[in-house]
Amino acid sequence: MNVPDFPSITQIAIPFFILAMLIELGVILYARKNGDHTRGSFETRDTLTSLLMGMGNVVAGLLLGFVAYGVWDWFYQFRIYTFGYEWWAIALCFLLDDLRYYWYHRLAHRIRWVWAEHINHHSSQHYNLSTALRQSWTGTFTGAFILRIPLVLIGFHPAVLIFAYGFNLVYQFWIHTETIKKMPIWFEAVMNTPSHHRVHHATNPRYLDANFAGTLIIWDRMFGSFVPELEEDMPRYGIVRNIGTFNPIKVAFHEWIAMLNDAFSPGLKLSDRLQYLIKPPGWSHDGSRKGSETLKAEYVRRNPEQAGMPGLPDANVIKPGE
Amino acid sequence: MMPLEILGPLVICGITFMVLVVYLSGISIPAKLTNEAEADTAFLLDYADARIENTILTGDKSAGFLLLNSKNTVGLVEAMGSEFLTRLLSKGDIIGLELSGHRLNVRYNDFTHKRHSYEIESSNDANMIHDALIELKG
Repeated sequence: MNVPDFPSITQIAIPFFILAMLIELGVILYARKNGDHTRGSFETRDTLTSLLMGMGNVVAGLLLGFVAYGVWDWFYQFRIYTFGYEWWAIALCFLLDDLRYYWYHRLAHRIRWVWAEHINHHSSQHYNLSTALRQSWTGTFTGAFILRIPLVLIGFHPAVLIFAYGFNLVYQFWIHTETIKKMPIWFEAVMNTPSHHRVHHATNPRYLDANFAGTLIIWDRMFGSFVPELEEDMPRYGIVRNIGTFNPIKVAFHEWIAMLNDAFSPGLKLSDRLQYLIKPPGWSHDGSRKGSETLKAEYVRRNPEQAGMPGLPDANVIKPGE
Repeated sequence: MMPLEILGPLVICGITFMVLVVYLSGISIPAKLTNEAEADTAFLLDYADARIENTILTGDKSAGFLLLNSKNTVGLVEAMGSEFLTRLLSKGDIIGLELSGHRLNVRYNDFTHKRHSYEIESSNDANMIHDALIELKG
């Protein structure tokens, strides 16, 4: 069976991305004119950085996409079934790949080696549709593409994986906004939404390492990583230690440089060096830095009435030193 | 895949157009610290356990240095576009420091925030900040 020439969904969507950003900007300006400053904001250099990161991501894909595709294509010969290219096969692939995305995303926040590429997407202190396009240049180097190998072995052709994932990426675009507060309850229950994803991008302690979904929020509900957005704790965006640059090259590589500096610091045991690569962001061999668990525990110490709330630990499970 | 001769110009023109629209809309306003309390609030959002003894703003109100009660640490709040950047500076975070009149030139051990020049209104304040930061020089 010949592989269909699937279109690139994300490339076709580019004019839609531009139109949507213009509409969002218009909504924000209109809201502000009427005294509503809660619909988000844009900043010129931040927007430029985000869009240049997006452009770099496209270029990186064109130059390095063959690596992941080649690996998947090689594994495809060992598949246990052949799903073909019908619409239902693509739909099933979309569903299973969304589950794969959840776990990739969760690992990307908990393993520094993968965080080093994913941090770029979180590095803006703004949350608007341009933030959605603030994408990594270095994804291939993490090797996270191996997470798709099980899907290939099940029987989905790599071309189907990429085609289905395009829909996932385009879906995730519109949820990067503050202009939409909440969707209907039934929608919020099943789908990833602007509200759920604002939590994911927030650095408020309760929101750290939450809501990893791509399209379906049900994965977070199933695997215990769901945290609802609270009006009394509005999200603040960025990363725990925000970057001080709009230079896209520095944005793209800063965490790789920081991680490798740590791993190659003099006087460390081999185990410490490896842990700087695989432990969660914030881990340090001497305990001098704070990861998300410590930040959450400190928040509960300061606000004991919040203990046990979604995203926060119970008071009695906080370890000494956290 | 979209032909490169379409994709390339589409992306470049799209970026240029969007950034121009954002700029011309006037929505992008550089962050400024109205007063010392605002600097304290911004800093405490990220470093809630800090105990601030004195806050000194730069002349253009784009940054504030916070002298803390914990030894060998200095707080920094600095405008980053229309938002603020905060840092809890400690030993080794300063790799270069020069006070020239009211102007403080600082080089940080920070890949994304390497250097900055601050104009302090009062020479007394400038000296106070300089004296606090020199203790952090690596």
